[in-house]
Amino acid sequence: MQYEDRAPEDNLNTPDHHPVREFLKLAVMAAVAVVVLGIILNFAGSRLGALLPFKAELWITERVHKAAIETGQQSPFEQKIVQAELQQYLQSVADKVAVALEVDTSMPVTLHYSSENVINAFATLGGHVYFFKGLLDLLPHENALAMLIAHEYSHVTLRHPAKGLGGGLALAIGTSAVGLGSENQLFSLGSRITSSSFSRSMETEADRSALVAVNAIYGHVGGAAALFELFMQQRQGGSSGQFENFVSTHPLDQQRIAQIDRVARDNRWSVSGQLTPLPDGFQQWLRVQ
Amino acid sequence: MTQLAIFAVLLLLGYGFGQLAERRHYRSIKKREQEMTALPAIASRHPPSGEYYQQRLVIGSVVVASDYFKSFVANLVNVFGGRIKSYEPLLDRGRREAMLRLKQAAKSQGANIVFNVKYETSRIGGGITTIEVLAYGTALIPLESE
Amino acid sequence: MNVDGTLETEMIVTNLEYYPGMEIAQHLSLVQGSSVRAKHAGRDFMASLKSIFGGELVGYTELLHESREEALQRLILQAQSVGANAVLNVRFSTSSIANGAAEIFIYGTAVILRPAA
Repeated sequence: MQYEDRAPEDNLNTPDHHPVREFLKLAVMAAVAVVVLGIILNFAGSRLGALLPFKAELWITERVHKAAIETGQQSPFEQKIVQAELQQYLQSVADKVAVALEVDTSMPVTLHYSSENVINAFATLGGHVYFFKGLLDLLPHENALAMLIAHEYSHVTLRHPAKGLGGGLALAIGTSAVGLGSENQLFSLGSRITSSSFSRSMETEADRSALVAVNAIYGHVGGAAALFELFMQQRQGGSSGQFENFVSTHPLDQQRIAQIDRVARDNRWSVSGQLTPLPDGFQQWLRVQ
Repeated sequence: MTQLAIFAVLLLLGYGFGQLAERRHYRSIKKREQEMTALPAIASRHPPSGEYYQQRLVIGSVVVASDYFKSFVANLVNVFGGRIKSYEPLLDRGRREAMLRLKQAAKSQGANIVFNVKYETSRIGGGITTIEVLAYGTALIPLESE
Repeated sequence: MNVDGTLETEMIVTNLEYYPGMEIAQHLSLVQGSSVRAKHAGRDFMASLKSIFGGELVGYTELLHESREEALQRLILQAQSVGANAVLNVRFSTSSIANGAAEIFIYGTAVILRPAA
């Protein structure tokens, strides 16, 4: 018997392979998969969130409120408006907005005011709407205030906080399911409630709805754009970080002003008219608290 | 951000050194394989009868690690499925190195052939894929050499 | 077993099923040797550093070699205790039983060989 040791052809088990090319291909595939999954999860989550009855929102905020009190922390739903005249005035404008938007009585909206010098206002779960001194201070007339209030009311009636919560939760579940995020994200419900951020399409939707209310109250939409002109000025004049925070998810100011014009034209609404001034002492009321 | 930078550095280091180690290893393997052709190692279980030999168990083993880059690529492939090409050279290198060591052991015993060669591959630890390849067989040593 | 992969013992250890020129007088038993090793913390650290760059992890190669030597020693001791002079058809197996611990297992047939008539 003859025993030999012939070398078989090399590379049969390890054909040519370009690791960098493979890496790039896989990285792109992974990135696309993550983005697509994120969009799908966010969409499905916000759809599910919209199915949540408003009562459930109230239940959630009630629980957060109680939990905060039990642990001795300040509840985010406690910041009522202390100054009586300010409370009365904001509520009167809000009532007009509620009538114009035909807000259901089953969807009570609660106004909150913070004297922090932040240029911000937001709506969150359970119909809680927050206004900050920094923003109210800059408002030139009641029409702009009505636009702002109507915008936040629209978020509530359009169920944006619930949609945002649903989308955010779906994303958190998704990322922790594939091991990217931590479970903590899932349970930080409390922080999600007070730091609601809406998508640009939600903001556009809210703007559109707010315009309907402003037109119904004043018979024209003049002054509504003032709100966004104000944002634009602030942005150009060396905006503060806090301000950026609020505006970053909002559509560009110019686009929003352009949208007002477009919507007004489409509906044959007047874009100019008598502007209602803010009541005397409005700025002083803001300083109390 | 820092984490991302560390990750990128590890990827680059893994890629650079890993490729270097692989190329060097293959060069050395090919050279030694040439030198060892006089000593066949085969998987047959039946040594030639009628001839007298001394038998001795010989083994060769090696632990080789993939590198950070290749492990990462392999993990990505795991998500989508498919052939993990980046691990194929690793296993190939391990098997050939273990075989060379087995032959070296046989040669130092004065053997001229190794029968019933068997391979064993096992995974060592987690993290970056590390494997051990063991090759063992029975070296036949001509009695005259004693 | 020596570092070069050979064994110094009177016991015949082979993974063939017979021994040319000898015949099996008696089958005695299945004998086995095993050794469970945990990775060494110092080596482990160096190895995990080294594994980023790829290539042979010499520390681990040696570690497993030592384990195999020990397991083989135990196999031979078992064979001696049953009065064998050879272990045929020896097989190796390695299993990672927990993270960082591996079992080396060697088994074979202990027999008494005598020169063929």
